[in-house]
Amino acid sequence: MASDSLHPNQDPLGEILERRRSGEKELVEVDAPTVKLVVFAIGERLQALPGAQVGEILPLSTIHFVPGCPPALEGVISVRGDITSVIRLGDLLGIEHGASGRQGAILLAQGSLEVGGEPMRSGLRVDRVVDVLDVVEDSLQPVPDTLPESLRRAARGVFQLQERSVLLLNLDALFQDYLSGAG
Amino acid sequence: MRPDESERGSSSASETIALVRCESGGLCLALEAAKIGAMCDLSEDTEAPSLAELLELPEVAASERPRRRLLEIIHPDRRRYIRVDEPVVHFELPTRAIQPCPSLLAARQRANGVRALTWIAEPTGDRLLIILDAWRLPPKGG
Repeated sequence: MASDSLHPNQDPLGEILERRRSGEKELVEVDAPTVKLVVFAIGERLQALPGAQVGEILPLSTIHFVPGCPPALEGVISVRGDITSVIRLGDLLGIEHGASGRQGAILLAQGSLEVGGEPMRSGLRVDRVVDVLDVVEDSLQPVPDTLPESLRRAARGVFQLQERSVLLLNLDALFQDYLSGAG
Repeated sequence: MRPDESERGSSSASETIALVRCESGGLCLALEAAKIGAMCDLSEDTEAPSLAELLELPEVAASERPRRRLLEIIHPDRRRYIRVDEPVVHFELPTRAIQPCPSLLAARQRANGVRALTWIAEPTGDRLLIILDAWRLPPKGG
């Protein structure tokens, strides 16, 4: 295509390349600590958990009902033969889950506290895993006071992902809420 | 974890527990055989509660309900009867196949006699077997 209006001294491609080079250079020079996060959706809301606390991401499979459990504890699954509980994370957070679909997933999460002499661990049911990414810790903002209490109690911070707010969750606080009767 | 077929026959794998497996409320349940005194045909006028009722499970619709049986639970101090759905099967389960309830599940579970869990292989895939303590079943209406 002809580019009659382009001045001989102009070099748009060169500028783009220069911007990319300087941008990449900036990225390399940034020495800010980062944290790996697993970002997922429950309903329309985006949430995240530290990657260090999520051992595995499993596709949604058959969840077997066990009588006598609270509504938030949906049942158990087989993880290579081992029996693992599955908690509906939305029920703990007061967020309605979307319809079960092919994108549903179970995050195998383990907190740092213990219950019954064992580490607190469970599968957490989410509607969709969005991304696993490194986030600069300084980009985490405080939890806004306007959030509902159930979310604020379980949140560590907020960050932006593609112009959407993502709530970083505190897994230990979530498990403690569950043990205190939430869900 | 379910034991491998190849491991059966070794000393550790040969340790088993006798269980009576049955159905109730659409779930697969088992009780220790040592606590079951008898299995009887069900007379229609029995007032014995169903296992589903004790566990607060929805009953299977009468039209789809399989044949029912009466199990006698024996205890040093008392006897009680519960209704269960067929098939009722007496079998031996390798003890190493038995898993405790996951800790977060156990921490908030209603006291209803659920003690342990295991997987049993069925043609359609693994099925959860819920192992109950017959002496810890809740009372009728409780």
